[in-house]
Amino acid sequence: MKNRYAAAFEWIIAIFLIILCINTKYLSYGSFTPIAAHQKSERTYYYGPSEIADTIKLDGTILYLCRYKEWYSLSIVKKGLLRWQTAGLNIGNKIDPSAPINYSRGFTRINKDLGLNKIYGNASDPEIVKVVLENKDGSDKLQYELDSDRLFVFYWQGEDMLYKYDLLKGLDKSGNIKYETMFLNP
Amino acid sequence: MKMMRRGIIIICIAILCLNVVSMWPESKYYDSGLEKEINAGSAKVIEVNKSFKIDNDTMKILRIINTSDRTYIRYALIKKEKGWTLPDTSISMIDDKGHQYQCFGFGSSGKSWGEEGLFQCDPIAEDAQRITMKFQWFDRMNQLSIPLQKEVN
Repeated sequence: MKNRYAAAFEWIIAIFLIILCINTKYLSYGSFTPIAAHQKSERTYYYGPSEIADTIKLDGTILYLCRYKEWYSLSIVKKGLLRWQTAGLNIGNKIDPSAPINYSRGFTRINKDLGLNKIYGNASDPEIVKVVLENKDGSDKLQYELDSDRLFVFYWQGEDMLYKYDLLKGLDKSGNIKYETMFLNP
Repeated sequence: MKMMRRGIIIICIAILCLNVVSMWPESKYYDSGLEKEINAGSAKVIEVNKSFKIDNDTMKILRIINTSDRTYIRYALIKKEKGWTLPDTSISMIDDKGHQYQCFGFGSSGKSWGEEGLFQCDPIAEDAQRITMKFQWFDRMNQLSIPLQKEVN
């Protein structure tokens, strides 16, 4: 009998300690779902909550293209050992409504094997229906069809490949170029 | 079963011990070089101990340290949840004469309860009576007015 009481007592202590551990912030890194990780990333950076315009799912990595008031952002989350956590929050991109297109570009290292190049932005000119990213001779081309949220994102994997593409174009319904910019690539 | 519950207890205690270590606050002035200057009398300290809200978190301005060419702000940020460190470009100061002061992060340490550290700012003008610390970040904005008269070493 005495032993049983002792065992029960130890179990109570064990359960109490487990609850205490879960509540301490040491174990509260990360989130159970990718969307929660994204929201936490914004919340703890004192930004948003933004509206998600596009979700891109890669293997163990998710990109959220978002809008919040007059800013657009790209939030990246990745799967850790157990939970999802942020791999980058690119904010601070203000939309200038007088410009046909606003864009940002950058590189994010996700892990040892995966590096993501990305160009993303907003097309304010309502006539632009499609955004095209291409290299100088037009042999390599990425396209993004715009919808009502007006945001676009291009991404590709690889190291130091930010200079793979040279031109960003905004096209109207009939394929006319409404906007074009050339990157100053080395 | 005995092994299992004892195992759980030991692992939990180990995690909690780590947590206690990470709760440990940094030194009063955070930086040992600064502490030397204060002890030598070449830097003056103004105890503030006032706080303001940043969303659900609490920003505590502990003290202002004026050296001959810089102003330092010793702060502690109590966070509701772990995440990004405070974006240091969000912090600036303005005095009662309207002078603006730029601040940037000088050092910070993550804690189980948030983070603490030092901002380095342009030196506060000698004739300033009052300084307003500002948090400005996208659509967020909050501020704290601090009187500067009482200087103790």
